[in-house]
Amino acid sequence: MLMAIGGRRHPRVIPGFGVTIGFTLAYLGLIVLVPLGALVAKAAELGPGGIWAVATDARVFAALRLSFGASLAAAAINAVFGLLLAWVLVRYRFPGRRLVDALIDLPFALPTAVAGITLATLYAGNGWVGGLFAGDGWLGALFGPDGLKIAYTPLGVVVALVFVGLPFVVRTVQPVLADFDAESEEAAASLGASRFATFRRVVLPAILPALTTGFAMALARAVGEYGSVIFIAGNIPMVSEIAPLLIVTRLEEYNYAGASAVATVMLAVAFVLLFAINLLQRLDRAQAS
Amino acid sequence: MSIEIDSVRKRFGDFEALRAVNLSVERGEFLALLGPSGSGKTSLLRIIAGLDFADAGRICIDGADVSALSVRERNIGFVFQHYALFRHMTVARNIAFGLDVRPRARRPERAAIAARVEHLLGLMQLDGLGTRYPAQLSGGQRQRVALARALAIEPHVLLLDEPFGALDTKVRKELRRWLRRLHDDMGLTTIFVTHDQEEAMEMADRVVVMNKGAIEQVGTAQDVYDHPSTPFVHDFLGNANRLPARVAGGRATVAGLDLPAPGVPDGPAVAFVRPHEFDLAAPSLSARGIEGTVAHVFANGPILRVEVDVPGLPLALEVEAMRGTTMVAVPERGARVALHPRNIRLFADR
Repeated sequence: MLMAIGGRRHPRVIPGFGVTIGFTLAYLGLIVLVPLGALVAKAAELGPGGIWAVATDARVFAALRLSFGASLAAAAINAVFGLLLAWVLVRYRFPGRRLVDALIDLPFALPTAVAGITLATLYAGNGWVGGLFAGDGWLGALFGPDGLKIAYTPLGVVVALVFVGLPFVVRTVQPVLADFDAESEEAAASLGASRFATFRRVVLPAILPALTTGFAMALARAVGEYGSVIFIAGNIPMVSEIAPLLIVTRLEEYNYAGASAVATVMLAVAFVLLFAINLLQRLDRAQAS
Repeated sequence: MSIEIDSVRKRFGDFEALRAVNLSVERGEFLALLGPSGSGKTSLLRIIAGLDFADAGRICIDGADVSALSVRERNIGFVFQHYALFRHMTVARNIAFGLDVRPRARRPERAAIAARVEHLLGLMQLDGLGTRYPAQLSGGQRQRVALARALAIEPHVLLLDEPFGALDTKVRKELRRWLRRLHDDMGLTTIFVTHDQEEAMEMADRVVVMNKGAIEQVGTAQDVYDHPSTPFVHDFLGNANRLPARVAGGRATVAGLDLPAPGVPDGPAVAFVRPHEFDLAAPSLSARGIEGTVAHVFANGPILRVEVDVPGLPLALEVEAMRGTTMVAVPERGARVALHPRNIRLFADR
């Protein structure tokens, strides 16, 4: 930004700072700020006290906690396994690599409701996967006589969010990993670093900015996700009810101010989270440049 | 440390990168692997380092077979062509890396590492740059950081892959001399890869000329330049005019001249004459030379370069002389001249 302003005094090869910044601000205002502003304005009808009362209501609080908790968990899982997938896709040549590469994007393309119904069917106690984890399934026995219930529990919510968030980490890390200079790894090895030390001290710092971006995107997507979650969640208030569903419920009750109050709280929390991630990245970048 | 390379072979798919290479490197020697790209010089260097492994053959360092050891076990300093510095670490952290990653039992104290880094920074003339990041350094400085990092683990063998390839001429010249001094002071055994013959000649105790995965000739710079053993070496080291020739019964015919050719088998041959090995004179009947027409004259400071078109030769001959010595007068374009080679080397044309 500073550089762009400096550019006004020293003409650049490509001019047009004034026009482009004006357009950028107008566009952002129209597409992002106006709807969000309307939302906050609606919520403001309740007054700060009213919004606080909504946010601290036990059912709303439980839903918010589930939404953000499950989203963070899913984004963390995606960060680990998305990195692994990106690594395999970039580093190794194997038959069917292109097919696997194409599969990564499918969660983007599938209508979320379809994904939700499919997941709910698979992970229900009598589904293929859910059956394995049921009390009489092979894996279920590991979790005690009742097995592990996935569908219609918070765990099911995490499963759905992992599914929809998968492409983000893979697609942000993949190009950075592909550009990564393999000589750095060889240099580390020639200096006596073990494989693990090479990964932790040389490779990971280089891809960390991309990884956090992927994490943030997966997190943002998961917080707002609705369609794929509501089928597998079971939506039991206080247990497996996510905040977006609660908003829809409020709307169906014609409680518009209540709905927008919950939405405003979500918006605030999401903003704080993404801002914090951004700040971390900035610190990391300042260190590197 | 002495290095013994014993019939090392390496293939990459259909490409034969190294065909049974044998080489011994003396303790304390400074050796250049010289060759065009694809000659196998970098493959050989990487196999010595343990970054690649030979398909067959052995690498021994000080008599011990290290063929099965990985790069991290060989304790060899390796400097990469593009330096491969760790971009997210400061210069000091880069240099300390090899010590930092040691298992606790073998890792020096924090203060000892810092002192070693400080010492290396001084040695590399990088004082005060320890807190910078690689992106903030010039090419020559990065090169020296890469060197300091490789030397921090106190290797006895230093391997460098095209160490000056990415630097401009002036910096390159300074660094060459400096590296040579460093090698002598630290008592290292150094092998470096280059495609620049001038660099190899100037720095190395011995030059190994490689071509198509095999060693063509090994010798001192003077030796390989004055007595090239194959046409390839002659062509590759220094400028040379290449003339087609025919040998029959111990005599060779080269561009109309009749010369003795002891030891060269009958049949087609190639003759090499370096540009400075010609005497240029006006055509005369008494002394027969290679006659031609002056096509170009370039005066480059004290050196005069003349290109002479000779009928029947595909390329113009290049002649070089110090001004005012062998050439009596500066020839003019279009003038008829006779060339008298003082030195001709003949090889059978395979």
